[in-house]
Amino acid sequence: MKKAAFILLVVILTMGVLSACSSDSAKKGSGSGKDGDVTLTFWKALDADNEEEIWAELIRKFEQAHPNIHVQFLATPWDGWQEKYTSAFAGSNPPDVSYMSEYLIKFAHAGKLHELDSFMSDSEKNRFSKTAIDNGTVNGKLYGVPFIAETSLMFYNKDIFEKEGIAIPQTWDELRAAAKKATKGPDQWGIGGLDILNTISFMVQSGANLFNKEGTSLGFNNPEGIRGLQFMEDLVKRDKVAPPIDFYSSPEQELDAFFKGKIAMMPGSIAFVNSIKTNAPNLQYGAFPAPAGPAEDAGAARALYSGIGLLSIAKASKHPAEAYEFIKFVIDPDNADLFFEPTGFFSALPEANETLFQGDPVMEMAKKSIQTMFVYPASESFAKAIDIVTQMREAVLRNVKTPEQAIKDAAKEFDSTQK
Amino acid sequence: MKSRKERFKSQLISFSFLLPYLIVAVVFSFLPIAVVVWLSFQRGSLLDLSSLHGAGFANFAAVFTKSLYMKSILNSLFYIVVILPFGQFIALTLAFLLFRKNKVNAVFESILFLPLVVSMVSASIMISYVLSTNGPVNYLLAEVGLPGILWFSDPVLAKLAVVILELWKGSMFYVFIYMAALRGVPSDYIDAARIDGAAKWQEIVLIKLPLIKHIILLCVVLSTIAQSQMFDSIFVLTKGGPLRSSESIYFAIYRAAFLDDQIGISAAIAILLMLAVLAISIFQMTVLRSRHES
Amino acid sequence: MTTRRIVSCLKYGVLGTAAGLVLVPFWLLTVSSFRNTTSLLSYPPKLWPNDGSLSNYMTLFESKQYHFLNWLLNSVIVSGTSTALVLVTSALAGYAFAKRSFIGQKVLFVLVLSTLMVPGIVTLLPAYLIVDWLGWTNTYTGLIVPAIPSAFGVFLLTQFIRTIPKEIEESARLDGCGEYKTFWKIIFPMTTSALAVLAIFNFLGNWGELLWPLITVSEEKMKTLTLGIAGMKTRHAQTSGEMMAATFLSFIPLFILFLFAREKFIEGVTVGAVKE
Repeated sequence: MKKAAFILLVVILTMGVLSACSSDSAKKGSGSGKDGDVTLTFWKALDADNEEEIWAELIRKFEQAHPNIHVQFLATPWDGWQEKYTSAFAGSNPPDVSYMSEYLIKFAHAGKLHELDSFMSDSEKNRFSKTAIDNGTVNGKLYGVPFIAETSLMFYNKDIFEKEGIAIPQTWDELRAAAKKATKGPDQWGIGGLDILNTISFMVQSGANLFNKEGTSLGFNNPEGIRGLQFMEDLVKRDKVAPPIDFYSSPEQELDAFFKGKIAMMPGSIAFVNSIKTNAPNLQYGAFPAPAGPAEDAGAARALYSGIGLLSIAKASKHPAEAYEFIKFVIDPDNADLFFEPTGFFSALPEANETLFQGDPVMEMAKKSIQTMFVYPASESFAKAIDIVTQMREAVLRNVKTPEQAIKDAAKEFDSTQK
Repeated sequence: MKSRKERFKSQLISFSFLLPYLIVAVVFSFLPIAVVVWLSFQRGSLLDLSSLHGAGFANFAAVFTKSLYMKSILNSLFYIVVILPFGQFIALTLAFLLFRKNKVNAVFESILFLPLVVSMVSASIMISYVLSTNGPVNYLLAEVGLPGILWFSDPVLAKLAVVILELWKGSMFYVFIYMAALRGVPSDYIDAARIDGAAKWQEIVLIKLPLIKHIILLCVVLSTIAQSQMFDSIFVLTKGGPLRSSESIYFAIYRAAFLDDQIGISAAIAILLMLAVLAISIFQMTVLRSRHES
Repeated sequence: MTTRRIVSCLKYGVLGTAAGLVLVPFWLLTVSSFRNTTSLLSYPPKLWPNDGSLSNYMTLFESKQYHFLNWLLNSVIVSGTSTALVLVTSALAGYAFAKRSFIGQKVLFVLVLSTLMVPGIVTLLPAYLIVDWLGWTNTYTGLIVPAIPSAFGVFLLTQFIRTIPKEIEESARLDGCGEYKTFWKIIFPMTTSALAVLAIFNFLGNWGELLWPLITVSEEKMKTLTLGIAGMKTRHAQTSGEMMAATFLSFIPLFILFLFAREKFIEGVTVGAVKE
C-alpha cells in the first residue's frame, strides 16, 4: 500500500513540476507580454537552404523598427504539412502569420483566414500583377498577400549545345529536334526532369489547364490535354530523348545527372539556379523560355510551373493589425535584397525585382516572365489533383494506359471524390 | 468462499491497480477513438467544425462502393498473410539461437538490436538505397554477371521490397520479446526433461514452445496489428507505387482525410479496420488457447 | 560429434548472415554521414568516406539554424519520463488483467486492445484538439502525458504475468503477504525482463515519433530530435550530409540505453525460477 501511494505521489509531483517548467515556454507563444508588447507567430516551410538565418535577420530588422512587436518564426517541415496546418487551424492557436501557396483556398473556404481588404487598399493591390492578386482572392475577398513569385525556365547545358551545334528551340518540333541531337550513348539524354509539374506544363502548353475556371473539375480532359500528355510520352518512349521512368532511382539522381552534364535540357524553377551554383559551380548553363506548344494563348503556349506564395493572417489571431505590419515589412521592396537574392526567388511585387539579380543572365530572362506567369486556377482539391496526375503520368510511362485512357480515368477519379 | 464484503473489497483493489492506466487512457486513448467513431457518421471538413452534419451509414457504404479503397485493403491482407508467418519464424529461430547468455551471443544480440534503434523512415531510406537501381544489391549482381533487379517498377516486386524492409526491421522486435520469454523459462523444467532423456528438438517443441505460448500469442496479435497499420515503410520505399500497387489501408485513410477532405470516410475506414483486426485477433486467441489446452 | 559441428556451423552461419544483413545498410549510412551532400548517391556505392570530413558534424553544433542540443535534451526528457510512467501504469494494469478477476474484465481488455487497432492518423486530430483544449500545446506535459497510456504495454505485461505460475502468488499469500505487497515484492520483480523489453521499445517508439510532436510543438527549441531532423529537409534537398550526421548522432543515446537495459535481461533469467 505504501509503495503504491509513493509511486502515485511521485507521478503527481513529476507532472506538477513539468507543467511548471513548460508554462514558461508556453507563455512565449502568441500573446501579449507587458503593456502592449505583442508577440506574433509566423510559420513557413523552408524553400532554401539558409532560409532560417535569413528570416532571423529580417525579423531582427523588423523588431528594431517596431520595438513593441516580437516575431517568433517556426520552420515547419514539408513532411506532414497538411497534418500540421490542419490541426493548428482547427485548434485554438493557429499561427498569426503563415505562408501558403496552393492550399490557401482550402483554409479560406473553411473561414480560417482573416480577410485583408480592410488592410490593403486598391491602390496597394495594383502594385501587384492581376494574376498575383487573383491568386490570393477567394469569393471576391483578399485572403493572402502575394509574397514570393516562382517562375520556371528551361535550363540547358551550354557545352552540349555548342558541341552539337544546337540552336535554342522555339517550338515543340524544334525542342524534339534539339533533344534528338543532344541524345547520345547510354546515358546522355536530350531532356530530363519530366516530373509531375512538367507533365501538367505540357498539357497547358497544348491548350489545356489543371482545373476548369471554378476549380471544380480537371481541366485537361479534352483533346488539348491528351495532345500534351502524348507529346511527353513520345519524348520518352518514341523519340527516346528523355530517360525512361526507372532509369534514375530518385529525382535527386536525375538532378545529379544534370549537374554532371549528362542531361542537356531540364525545366526547372528559378530556385534551381542556387542549386546549380552550389552543386555544380563549373557547369556552363543557360536558360530559355519553354518552347511554344500549340496553345492559342501565347502565354499558355510557353507556360512552365509558376507559383505564388502568399502570406495570410489567421482569423483567430489576436493581433491582426500587427500581423499585417509584419507582412507589409516583409514584402517591402527595400527589404527585397535581404530575402530574395539569398534564397533565389522573385518577389511577387514586380517593382521589387528591378534591382535584384543584376548581372545574372538567367535571372534577368526570368524576370521578364513574371508579368506573364501562368498560374493554375485555385482549387481546394489541389493536393488531390496532384495525386491523380502522379498516377496518370506513371500509368502512361509504364505502358499501362494510353494517354487518352489515363486522362479519362483521372477525370473519373477526381469527379468521384467531389462532394 | 469469500463473503460479499470480501469480494467487493477485491474488486476495489483490482480497480486500484487499473486506475493509473485508466485515468490517462480514458482521456487520451478512449476519448479520441470515441470521437473517431462519432466522426464516421458525419460528413464535412475538420477545418470547419460547424460544417459537420450527420450522414448515417453513408460513409461506410462509400468505403465498399469506391474501388479506390478496395485495392489497398487487399494489399494489406497480402502483407499480413506474408509477413506474419515469416517474421515470427525468423524471430523464433534467432531467439532460440541467441537466448543463452554468453559473450558471443551478446555480440550478435547487440548487432541485431540495431534495426530497432532507427526509425522506420530511416530504415526505409537505407533499404531503399540498398535495393535501388544503382545500389549495392544490383552492384553485387552485376559483379557476378546477373541482371539487376528493378524492385520498384513491378507491382509484385514492389510489395516484396516492402516485405523485405518490414522483415528486416520488424523481426528484430519479436526476437527480443521471445528472448525475454525464453530467458524466463524456469530451468527446472528443462533439467527435468533432460533427465528424462529428451532430445534437443523435443526440448524445444514439446517443452519450450508451449511454455511461451502466451508470448507467441502476444507476438502474433501484435504483428497482425502492426502489419495492418504499415505506412512509413511503404511511403518512403515505393510511395505506394507503382500505380498504387503497394499501398496499404493506411493510404486510403490518409487520402480520404487529407486529400479528399472527407474525414468521415477516413474515420469509417479506420473503424472498419479496427473491427476486422479485432475479429482476427479474437480468432487467433481462441485458436491458440484451445490448441494448448489439449 | 560431426553433427554438433554441422549444427554449430549452421547456427553461426545463420547468425552471421543475419548480422551481416543488418550491418551493411548501417555501415553505408555511417559512411555517408561524413561525405558532402551531392556525392551521397554516387555509383558504385562507397565503402569508405575518403572524400569526407567532419564538417557536417561541425555545422550541427555551430550553426544558428540547428538547435541540436536542445532537441536532444527535449527528446531525452520526453521519452524518458513517458517511458518510466508507461512501465508503472502497464505493470499495474497488466497484473490486474492477468491475475485478478473483476467485473467487466474481458470487455475492458478487449477495449484496451482495440485502441491498438485504430491507426494513429485518424485519432491524431481529435487527440490534438483535446490537448489544445487543455492548453497543453507546446509543453512537455502535452508531449508526455498522452504518451503514457500504452495498450501495447498493458498487453505485453498481461501476457508475461500470465506465464508466472499460480503457485508463486499462493505461497506468498500463505506467507502472509497482502494484495499490494504480493504485487510489489513478488510479481513485479519477476517482470523485469518484460519491463526491460517494454522500456526499450517504448523509448525507441516515442523517440522516433514524428507526427505527434510535429503538431503539438510550435517552437524551434521545443522540438524533439526526430522532429528537428525532419525539419532539416528543404524542398530541394531530401537528404544531406548534415542530416545523416544528425541521424547518426541520435543513435548514440539509444544504443547507450540498450546497453543499460541489457543488464535487466540477465537479471530476469535468475529471477524466473520457481521456488520449490
